[in-house]
Amino acid sequence: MNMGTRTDSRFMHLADIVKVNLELEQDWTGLAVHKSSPRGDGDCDGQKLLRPLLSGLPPKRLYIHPDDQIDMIKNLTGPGESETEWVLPLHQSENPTTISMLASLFDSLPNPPVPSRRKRIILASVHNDSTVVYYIVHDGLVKPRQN
Amino acid sequence: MSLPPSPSALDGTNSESTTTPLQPQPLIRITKTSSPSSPRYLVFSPADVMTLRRTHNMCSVLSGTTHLAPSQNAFLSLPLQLMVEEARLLLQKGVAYVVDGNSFHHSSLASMSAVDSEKRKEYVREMRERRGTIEFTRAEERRKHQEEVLRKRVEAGKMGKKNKGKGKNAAAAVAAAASKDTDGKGDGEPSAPPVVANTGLGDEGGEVSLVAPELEPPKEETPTPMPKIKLKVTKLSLTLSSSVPEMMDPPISSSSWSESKSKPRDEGGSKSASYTALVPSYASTSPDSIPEPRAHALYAYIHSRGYFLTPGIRFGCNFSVYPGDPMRFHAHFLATSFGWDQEISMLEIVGPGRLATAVKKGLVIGGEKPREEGDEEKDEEPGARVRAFSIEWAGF
Repeated sequence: MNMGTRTDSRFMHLADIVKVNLELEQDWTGLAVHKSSPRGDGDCDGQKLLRPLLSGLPPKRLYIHPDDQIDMIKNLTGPGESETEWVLPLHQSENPTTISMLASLFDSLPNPPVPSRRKRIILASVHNDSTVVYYIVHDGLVKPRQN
Repeated sequence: MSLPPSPSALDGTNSESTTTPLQPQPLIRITKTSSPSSPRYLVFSPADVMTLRRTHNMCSVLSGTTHLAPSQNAFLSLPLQLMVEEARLLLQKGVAYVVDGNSFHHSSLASMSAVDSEKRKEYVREMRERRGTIEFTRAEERRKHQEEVLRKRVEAGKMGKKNKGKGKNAAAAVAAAASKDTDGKGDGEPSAPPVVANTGLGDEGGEVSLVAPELEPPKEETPTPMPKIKLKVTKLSLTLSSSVPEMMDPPISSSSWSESKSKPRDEGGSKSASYTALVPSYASTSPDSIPEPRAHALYAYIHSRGYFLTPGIRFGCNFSVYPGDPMRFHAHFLATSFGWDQEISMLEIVGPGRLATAVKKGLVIGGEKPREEGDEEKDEEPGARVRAFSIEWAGF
């Protein structure tokens, strides 16, 4: 139990580092730390998450699918409003990521607002010198933006 | 959770390549060659290679050298070397069979020497017949060629007005040609007269004497054994170009084919039921004859969504994933397979992720969920329990 709380506090510390980085360096707003599943339906409702997740609103839309981009250019529309993103903080030197963990994490996320859109999270890798590198992780095969 | 839509639904690229043909195709023959480290799965038939590419979205790697330029490796030819994942998936789909090249070779040799003596005699007789025909044709060609050369010489002699010596030579050449017409009846000995003609011309017609010996290889002046070897080579190349399947299924195997027709085979799967009759008895159609490679589930998962996969070793991953035929598209992903509970360090994502971004691709990691204890052994598509994730640099 003691061990568990220590791990929890370590994860919370990581989450705080990423939160500060997002808030002050990347100008995100509405940041919150989640310890239990944010999904409002299904089996995972309210279940405790393996690791804390962050949610927040980036200053501008973070990700545009290449097909949407083509539509945008065709219809001469803007990128649209920014969407709430989910962020998973990880430390660079630890290696706790497994396929099963990612799978259960994605299962505990709420469905995207647009049904055709795939679930995605932002992987935040924290380095010892407090550098944070962000990766976009999609559930399933989603073609890359540059190709 | 809902399965992601296939790429054809997303970008409409490979709708044509995933359509199944109306008529069932004959089974693809995979030859397994054994090496001490790992077996290789090869496809020798051009028709099978085409089927693989058109209807099964598999390009694999051509691994044979071209005999004109054996030391280059940019342009390779048959055989096609399948990835182990591909070979296994083809067997799981019931569209191919595997022949163990090693044991097949030995059994063929054995049946050649002892059992099928009648067939063997027939085969040898046919070969002799063919050789006779070829020898005859070759001799005929040679004779015509020599006549042509002589005729040109005579003409050249007529054109030269300066010295009378040439005229004399021309007369000699005509005489030689005449004598050759009488005795050169394609019996394999037409080489003697031209040699005489050459020596007659040698001292002044320098150009002619240079050409003539080249047309007449010196080997052929010795009576029989050397020409025979040459002719055999010609015959071999004829056989190769005209009937490749024959080379791979020699006449001796016909008995085993009819044998397999009579006895039913159960391991083929329902799809190929109509064609299992055509599987030779020495072949295997069971997927378990190929041990499951580590990345097989991920391969099956991605392949089932209409993608083409090629070996990814040049990008340090298991597969590079193309949305359509690699001749038409760039790869979209670099895919690496992990175990369900295998720990993945961040550097294993950051490193390949950076490489993938640098070459304008996405990184895909995936793994197969192990079968749960409660689950009975239900028949599911290969790769059905796989979860895969696409990773891209976020760019901020």
